[in-house]
Amino acid sequence: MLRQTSRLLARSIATTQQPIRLMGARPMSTNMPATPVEDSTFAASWKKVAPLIDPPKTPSAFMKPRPSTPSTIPSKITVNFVLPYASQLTSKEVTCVIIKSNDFLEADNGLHAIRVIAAVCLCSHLALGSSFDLDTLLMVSKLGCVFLHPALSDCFYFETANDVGLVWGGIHESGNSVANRSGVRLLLKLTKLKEVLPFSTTFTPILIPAIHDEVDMVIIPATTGQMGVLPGHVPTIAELKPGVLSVHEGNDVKKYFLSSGFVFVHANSVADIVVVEAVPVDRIDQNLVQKGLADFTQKLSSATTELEKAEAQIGIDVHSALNSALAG
Amino acid sequence: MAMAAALRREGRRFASPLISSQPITHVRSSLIPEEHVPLGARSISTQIVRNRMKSVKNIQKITKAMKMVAASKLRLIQTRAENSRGLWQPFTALLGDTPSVDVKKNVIVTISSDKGLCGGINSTAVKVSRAINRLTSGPDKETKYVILGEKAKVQLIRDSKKSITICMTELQRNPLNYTQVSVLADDILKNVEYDALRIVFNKFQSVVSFIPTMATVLSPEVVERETESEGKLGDLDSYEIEGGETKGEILQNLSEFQFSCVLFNAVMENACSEQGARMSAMDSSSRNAGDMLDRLTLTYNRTRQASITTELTEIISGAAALES
Repeated sequence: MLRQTSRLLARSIATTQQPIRLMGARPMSTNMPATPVEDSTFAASWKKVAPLIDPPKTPSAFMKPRPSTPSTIPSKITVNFVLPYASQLTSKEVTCVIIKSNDFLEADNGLHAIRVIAAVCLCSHLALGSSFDLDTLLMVSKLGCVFLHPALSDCFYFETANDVGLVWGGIHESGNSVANRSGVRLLLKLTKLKEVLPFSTTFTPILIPAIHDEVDMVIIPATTGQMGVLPGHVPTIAELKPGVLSVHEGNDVKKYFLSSGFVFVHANSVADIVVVEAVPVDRIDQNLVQKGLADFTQKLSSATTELEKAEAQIGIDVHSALNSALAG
Repeated sequence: MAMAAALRREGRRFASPLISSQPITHVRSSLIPEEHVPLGARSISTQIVRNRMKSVKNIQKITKAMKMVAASKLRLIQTRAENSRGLWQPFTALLGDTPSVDVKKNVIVTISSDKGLCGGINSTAVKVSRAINRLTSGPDKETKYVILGEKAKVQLIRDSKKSITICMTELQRNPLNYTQVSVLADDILKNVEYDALRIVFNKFQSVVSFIPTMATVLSPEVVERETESEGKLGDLDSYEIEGGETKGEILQNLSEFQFSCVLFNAVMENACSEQGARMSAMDSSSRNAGDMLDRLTLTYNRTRQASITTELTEIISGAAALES
């Protein structure tokens, strides 16, 4: 079902490109047909040993071939930002593009909201304070996502987007869920989602992420210090320490705090940033950082074995890096 | 009265050979074993067929429920697996893909499921692992196994018991996450000497198609050797190394990180494949059960109608005998 939604999503993005700046749909990494030369020796030796079994595929068969080194230095650097749970530079635009479906999906973003996905469309502005009946809800649900928050059991919230801004709403309904189509008259009260729901508004599941971003410069926290990477940078393998990654695009600077990882800069001005965790800097909680720093300092002083000392030291390093990230 | 009863008994004795003729023979042979039918008793009993129908219906319900469960688990895990696909790509872009590298110590990491009823994916993984073992074995080369998952352990322990170094089971007790897999990877790397690690898993391409895949991770020494010998990794030298004192140290960290990333993706893909395979296995199972139920219903009806006909025949012939 999710596959279908991603397929429909791709189609919908293709058709509704104009109003919103959306990056292209992410192609499935399994349908890339590259067959490099290396495989032939492997395939040949495989046939000798096990002629009846097909040789297993190797990762290069599933990877899109990288662009070759251009002769002139390109103007932008392509950044592939990969994390274990996400493989893109998540777009900051909270844009909602919704897919037509009657299924309930559980949003696994840790927010515990059940999401009814409604229809392919970007809506027009809805007036505040209007009241809607069920038919309009169905129309509205065609325009946006309907969320059922379990903590507020008789409320539905929906979110719609247009190119002017975001309009959030809540619907008070006595009892039944949308799926039952009970025909109850629904009063739509448009309230700001931020005020009603206790969690933050950057709903990552609905974000349409880009597979990569073309940016002007990235500054990475390598172990030898902050390193700036511009297009045409010499090919480098850099190990990272916990620190701040800043992505510069035009006048935009986006900062993320990274746990350690690696950065590969290739000759074709593609930078691969592979880290374990990345958090936008504005979501770091100052108090927790201070607390963590105090904890680990204490652990270091009371550590006995080398292993404990090393772990405490790592904790201190990370937290002081967090501190300086918040400061500067 | 007594004569009617006697005739009825006679009728029955006539009936049983009559009914043991063509249409029902296959039923009798498969469902009603001869030794359970005492001679002279009514041998057409619908009870046995009914019991069988009940059990087949239960099986159908169970397999349908298992399919639903597998479908929901697949939904949960599929997005995460797809998101983790980008993780190994930078490493392959940098270090290339070298499945036919020639090294002395190979370690085959086979990933399989813990639970059964998931189609043929575990058998294919084991077949591929064994073939890789044959491929990479030779004079003064050694190949060892690291097994993740109960099913591959059971199969590989039968013939390759000596080459198994580590076995890990119950990976999916907690939802899979990178921390858990990196601890696993750390464990493996600490306890195993390797020149090349070959990870064998089933890549999830779609709900009905799972591709056995082998990913190769080289140890830092081999990477250096390949770079020097101008093999596939020849242009690794052109990369400047930032951070760390020596290139060797960076390569060590790189190789370990690569292993944990590739293993994470492999474990997620395999989990997806497992759920997908289980879904299709249970689907075909419930469809088979449905077919079986249809056939049994026909048999049941035929049996029932035959016994009714027999009764009628007896009564009518008895009545006719009385009249005449």
